Amino acid sequence: MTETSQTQIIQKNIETSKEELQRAFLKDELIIFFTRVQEDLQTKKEDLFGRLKELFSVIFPYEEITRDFIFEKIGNGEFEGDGGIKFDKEEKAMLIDFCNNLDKNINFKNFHGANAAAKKYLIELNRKYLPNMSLLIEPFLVGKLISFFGGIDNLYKKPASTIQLIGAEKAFFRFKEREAKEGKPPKYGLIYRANTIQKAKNKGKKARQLANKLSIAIKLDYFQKFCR
Amino acid sequence: MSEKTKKPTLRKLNLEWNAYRSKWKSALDRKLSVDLKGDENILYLGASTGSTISHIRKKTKGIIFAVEKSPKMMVELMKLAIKSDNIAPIFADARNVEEIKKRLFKKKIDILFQDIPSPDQVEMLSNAAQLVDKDCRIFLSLKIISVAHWDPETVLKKTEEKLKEHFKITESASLEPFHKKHYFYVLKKK
Repeated sequence: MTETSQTQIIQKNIETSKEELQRAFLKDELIIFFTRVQEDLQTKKEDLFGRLKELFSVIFPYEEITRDFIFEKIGNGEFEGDGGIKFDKEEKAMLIDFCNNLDKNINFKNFHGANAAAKKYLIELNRKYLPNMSLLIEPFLVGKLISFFGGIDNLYKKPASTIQLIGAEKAFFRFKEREAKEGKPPKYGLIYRANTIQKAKNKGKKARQLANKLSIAIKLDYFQKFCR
Repeated sequence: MSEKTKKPTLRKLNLEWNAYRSKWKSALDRKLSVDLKGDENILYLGASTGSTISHIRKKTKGIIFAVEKSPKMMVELMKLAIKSDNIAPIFADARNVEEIKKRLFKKKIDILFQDIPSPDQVEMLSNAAQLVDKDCRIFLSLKIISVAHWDPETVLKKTEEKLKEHFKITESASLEPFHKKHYFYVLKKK
């Protein structure tokens, strides 16, 4: 056996971990991006630089990202970088079409067009990557659940009871501090916005059932579409 | 426009090795024997963005194997590794000993450092100790709160008993003013 030299060991390690890191970036970054953009548009926030920086740090991980850099890449229609995430043709077309609504300072030119595009592409992405989840609840709520935990690989590990109570932490811990003697625990958190719960008479019961179904659906979607 | 882009980044500001940010430095200030001689190979578990490693790499000529699991932290570490000629990044779970063993290429390791706050911290270290020889120095920074939530003194007693099953404790100290409820151990294999 010949010993490998010090520089060879370092180079081999950098190459292999670069390849593995490229596989570790998941497509749920796009879903998170479009939902957070919709939240921004509801509060009429003009600047999109922070959101685009999050997305571009996954596409071009080894480069410094400034406003001029983003404007260049949008103008050329380049959405593929060294060691970054790889998008399909459809997903690149989505991003190019969405970025037409921006001006030179990465602010919104056209609020109405941007909102319509974000809504439309969120539905498409949900149908493609999360077929089971999007049967149960609306695409905007799916994105909210994923963006709350910062990624689908954190969400799929959670049990049904935490999914039921996400967003109601304040009420839940207030109940726990009183040692469960007075008051009632919360029944639902973010999930309350779902259409099926709004229609139902007994909302607490429906929230528990929906959360149980969701926790199964998330695991199905993750291991079919996202797992490396 | 141009003023916003020219803001100094965080990395440039923190040029000093600060004891409040790094556990290795605070152990040095407590006068534990964690000095470097100049040619050690280090296996560093839980490297994060590499703020501690960027200071250590100036003090040795050997390789620093940095293990990290989270992809977003790993990007910053890779940037640092490409610039310097001293660091070998490993994108793997620290519990996965077999994959780390492949990446070491039979290099002898002189120092093993672990800084991963989690409930199974001691078992993780005893697993990783398979990779090193008997004369290797082993450092552990233990975070009591993340081992268990109940009374810190009894937790400390139980974890020390667990440690004594696998290792000899040569030195220990608390890092109290710099890091809350952290303890630092210098260990040797039995």
